[in-house]
Amino acid sequence: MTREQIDPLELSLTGGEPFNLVEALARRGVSRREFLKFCTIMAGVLALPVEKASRIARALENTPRVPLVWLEFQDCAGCTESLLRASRPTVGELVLDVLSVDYHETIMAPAGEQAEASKAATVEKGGHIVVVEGSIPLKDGGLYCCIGGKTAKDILFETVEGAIAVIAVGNCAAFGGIPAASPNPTEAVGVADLVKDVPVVNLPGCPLNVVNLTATVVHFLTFGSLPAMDHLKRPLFAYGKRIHDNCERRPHFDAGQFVEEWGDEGHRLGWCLYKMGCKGPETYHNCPTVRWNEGTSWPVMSGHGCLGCSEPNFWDTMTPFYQRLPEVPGFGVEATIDKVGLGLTAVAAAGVAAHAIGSAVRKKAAGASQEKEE
Amino acid sequence: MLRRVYVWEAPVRIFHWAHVASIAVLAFTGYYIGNPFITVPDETAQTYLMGWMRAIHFGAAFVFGLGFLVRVYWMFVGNQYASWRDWLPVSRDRWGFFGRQLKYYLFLAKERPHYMGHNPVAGLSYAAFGVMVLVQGLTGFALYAEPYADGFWRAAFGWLLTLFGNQTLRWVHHALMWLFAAFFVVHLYMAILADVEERNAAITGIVSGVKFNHAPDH
Repeated sequence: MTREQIDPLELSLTGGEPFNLVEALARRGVSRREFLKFCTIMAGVLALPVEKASRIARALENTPRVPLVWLEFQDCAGCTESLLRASRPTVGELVLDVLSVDYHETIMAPAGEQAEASKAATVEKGGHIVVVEGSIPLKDGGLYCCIGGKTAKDILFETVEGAIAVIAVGNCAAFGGIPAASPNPTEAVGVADLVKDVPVVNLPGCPLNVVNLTATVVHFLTFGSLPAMDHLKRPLFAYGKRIHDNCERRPHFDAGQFVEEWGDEGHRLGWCLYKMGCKGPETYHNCPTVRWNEGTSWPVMSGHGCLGCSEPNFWDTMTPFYQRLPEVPGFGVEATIDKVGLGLTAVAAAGVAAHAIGSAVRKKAAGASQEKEE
Repeated sequence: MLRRVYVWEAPVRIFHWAHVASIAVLAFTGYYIGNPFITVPDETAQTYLMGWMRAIHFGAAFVFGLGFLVRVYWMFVGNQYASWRDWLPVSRDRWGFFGRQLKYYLFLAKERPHYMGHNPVAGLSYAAFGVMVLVQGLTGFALYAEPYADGFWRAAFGWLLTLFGNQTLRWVHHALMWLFAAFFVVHLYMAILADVEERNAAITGIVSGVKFNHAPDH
């Protein structure tokens, strides 16, 4: 993987009224202690030494407000749901909210022309961050996803104009996701396929883990640069390690202890889900370490295999989700590669046996004709 | 008159048996990795079955890969029987014999042509085998590179993961194992047949390196 470090970007956002994050948070009931805990967690997620927590706190306290515009295209709003997931708002969510979110179609109060006007005002000022959720259709001029009479593609290009960065959240915005799954009827693509002159960060996952979005924004606000990324433009702090290598079930894999059937003895004992088609060995994501729903659990912990949702085209390349290998094409529904392979070997053996008989017959005939000649 | 001819030089023989051993080990451990058919019910901390299977598979893979590289090198520096010209029927002479040999195999001709090195049909099958080894090696080392986010393995083979994706690579890697099994069956039979019909030590030759020449030419 090539480590792609985006050059530090100048924060040119001093315009606007003075802003005090700690005070804004206090108005929403977040104590300073909770705020510092949040900064420590962010240092952990970003794989920074814990001393950096104070630097994060200082940066967040003094940073100017960075407006954030959240666009939704061909999506299920699942990533938004992930953002709002908690029964009560977390500190991270509030930070993201008071610090940033200016426009979010699903959760903002204004609607219609008022909403469009607030977006236009933000974009006009520039220096904003655009978050995109959902894929962008290109077929037939992109008419399969239109909002307010404009296609998704046009809205995207309009909104990223003057932006500091685009964060593509979820697999759809990052790689096309489920709308782009074969046969991809709308020719859906991800943001990075279209946006070339503004830095793009991909935060795939189905849905996005909001911890990683918050951490990306915090990294940007603290260091003035985007985090180091892999060849798929995914931040290394979140996508630099394989699920399999951080999985709590890994010892059972190495030992040779596998779940064979849902609910069997091995499943109850928490053995490895490899044979149930878990795609942890193929997937780079930080689910095992940061988990989901405020660190409660994650799919493999709850007894279900990984689907590989942070990898490109996972709907096509990671299926069948509940088997190790795809079936053999053209051999019917249940033809596993082992059945076909064993059949091939048997055919070879049968052919060899037939040829051996033929050769023996030939030899005998040759011997007989030789005797005749004599 | 029977003449002893030193046909298979040491690197060729060592390559042959290194591949026999490594393919046997790779097929068994690889099948286990693809479909772990043994579950160890003991204390987790005391067992390491999949770990060993993978370690042995990777070790054997290096023998397999290095053996292939040595054999390719020897194609260009070894004797005439080790040359790539013995594999691909590119000369008009070899091509003519290819037809005769194939006819013989298909019971369309009575006379079995004699050769000191590979017969042209067998030679071509080894060229195909070489392609199988290459694909198996590339897919295998690409999968080996998967846990490495960067570094040598990712740089050398990561492009295959990007290009084809893990599932396709594993599918091809697994399917080729069965092609190797089928190749083994046919190869073993052909060697026995040649040994019996040509009586030129086709089988012991790959141990000693010596074959017998009792034909006037070739």
